[in-house]
Amino acid sequence: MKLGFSVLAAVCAMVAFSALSPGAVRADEPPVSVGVIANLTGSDPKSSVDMVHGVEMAADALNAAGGVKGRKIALIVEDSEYRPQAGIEAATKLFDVNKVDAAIVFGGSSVSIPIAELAAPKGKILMNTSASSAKLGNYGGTLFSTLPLDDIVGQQVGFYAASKGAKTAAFIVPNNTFGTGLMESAAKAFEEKGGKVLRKIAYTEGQPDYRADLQALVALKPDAIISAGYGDDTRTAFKAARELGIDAPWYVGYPSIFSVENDAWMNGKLSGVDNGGLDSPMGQKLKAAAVAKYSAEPRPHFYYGYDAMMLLGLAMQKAGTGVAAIKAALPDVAKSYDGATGKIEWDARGQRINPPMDKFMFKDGKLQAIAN
Amino acid sequence: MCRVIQILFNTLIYGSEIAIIAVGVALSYSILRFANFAHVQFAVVGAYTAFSLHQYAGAPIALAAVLAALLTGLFAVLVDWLVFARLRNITPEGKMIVSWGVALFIRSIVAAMFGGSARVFDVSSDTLSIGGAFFTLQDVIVVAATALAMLALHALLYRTLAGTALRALASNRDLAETRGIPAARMIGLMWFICGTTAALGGTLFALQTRLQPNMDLVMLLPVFSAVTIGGLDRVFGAALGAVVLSLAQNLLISVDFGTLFSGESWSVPTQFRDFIAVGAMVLILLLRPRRIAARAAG
Repeated sequence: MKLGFSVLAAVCAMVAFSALSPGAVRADEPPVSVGVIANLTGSDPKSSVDMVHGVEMAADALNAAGGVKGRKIALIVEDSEYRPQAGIEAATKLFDVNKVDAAIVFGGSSVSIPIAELAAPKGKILMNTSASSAKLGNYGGTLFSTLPLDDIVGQQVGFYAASKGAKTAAFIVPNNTFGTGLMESAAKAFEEKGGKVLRKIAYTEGQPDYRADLQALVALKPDAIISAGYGDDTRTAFKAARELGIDAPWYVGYPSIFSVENDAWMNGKLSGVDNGGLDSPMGQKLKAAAVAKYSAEPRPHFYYGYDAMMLLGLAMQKAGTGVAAIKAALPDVAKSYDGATGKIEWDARGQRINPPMDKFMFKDGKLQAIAN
Repeated sequence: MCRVIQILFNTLIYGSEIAIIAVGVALSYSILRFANFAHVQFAVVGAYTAFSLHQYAGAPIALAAVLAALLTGLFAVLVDWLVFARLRNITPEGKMIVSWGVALFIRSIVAAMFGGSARVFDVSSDTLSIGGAFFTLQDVIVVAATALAMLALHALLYRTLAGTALRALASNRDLAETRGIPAARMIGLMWFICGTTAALGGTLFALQTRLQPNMDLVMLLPVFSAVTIGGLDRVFGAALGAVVLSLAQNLLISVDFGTLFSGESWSVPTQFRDFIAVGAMVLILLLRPRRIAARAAG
């Protein structure tokens, strides 16, 4: 059976938490509806669809193990188009028409924060599987994340740069919530370890050249550059640094979304911290199951979606399907849940702390995992 | 001292990239009396054409840039024939709005053909240093190519009959036509020059940065600021305006105001670079409104 391991995991967890035996789903009971808000169209639908697949696989596993309190889980998937307005419309439909108490959300912070604004006064539950702005931590009791927020990743980047012996650092980030949020937490962590921040550069995205932005670093000569950013902008920033003769190593958050401009110049110079834990035993089993079912290796959000659904299901199984009961039970079930993305530890806000992180270095033309 | 040299280098490089595009805006304004927003699209079309010739047809970059400039010159003539030639008698405001529509149309076509994601010329350039200030070999090529193009344009406008005819049209169109200058043909030549210079500028800009269908938005503000500073209908004034604007931008973002006043290092964030361009335009429009209005009226 392809889902054998995940089903087994679900069964074990339920046995531990349930007052009921994991018997068959009761046919006369209506299913428990869980909302899923994902951008099936618009920007980056592939990751989003993978997240939905992860949720579906967890729901299947839970249903195969008897559902929650004897009721099947039924998913209602709505398209957010990766637009805030469409996301709000999807959430409104789920909360007001379908009457769901909980929704699993894929989308950037620009989509997830408006949905959280809508869900909080309604007392609903959101499981965040992709947005990483530290501002999401402001929705304690409403929004629970299965991936770490930028402040946690930023902290790890700051510690990592300090651990590599850097005494001084300059920051180069895009001037948006993601960039500046990650910069502030990384700077705090770097200074906590005795490092000195020489300059914080927040560049305007989409500019053709960042030489003027990076100019000051020529004289400052930092030991390290700490950075975050995406695609083309990062390539332009690398080019500017190379042309200005800035040879400091780059320590970054989410290196996989950086674009290297010159392989030879960047060889061994770029390393960073990314969300990890996907190679856990459960992650490996799920990957095999997903490849068999969907004929493609799943992206990371598949695992975050899986964990989100599984935690919701376990909380329902433990405390019932009422929204207050689920909210109260979620932190408890998380404590003993060893997920597809590793051990999930939440702070009081429902945000992940001490997550497994992986480190990567750009070598020989590609990013390669390095020892933690 | 090193910082001063660097500011001068940066000024010259960025000023060159803007100047070569800005001269065409001024040239078309001097003859047709409207701000042609579609002009910057010629830079985009030229850059993509050069990229295609280099990347797909295997032409060396220099040859690709020259061919792209010539082809874009013809494209500009075609745009005039299809659109603006039919609107010669409408108001300058009307033509300006139409030019914006043409710009949006060309951008959409470019995006449809090449996609929205960025492309980069596969070129690498050595870094050079003088007095502790850095620049690249590519920067030298950009400045030299712009200087050569300016010299060629100057020679065309001031040393040839066609140039004299163009200047006569710019000075007094009615008089020039009564003296037998073939206005329609000369305007065609003007469009060709505009397309060619813009394409060259666009290619140089893309070589330094990256190609994107919306790269016109990055160039639009500094180009029109440079033209406004230099005098709307002054071709080489626009080039000077580009250098002045570039100097103002580089000075403001490079000076460490924090150290000057409090000891704590602080510079104007570079995202305010474009506000300098806006500020310069507003200042010029406030200080010289009558002169500009008089020129607009022809």
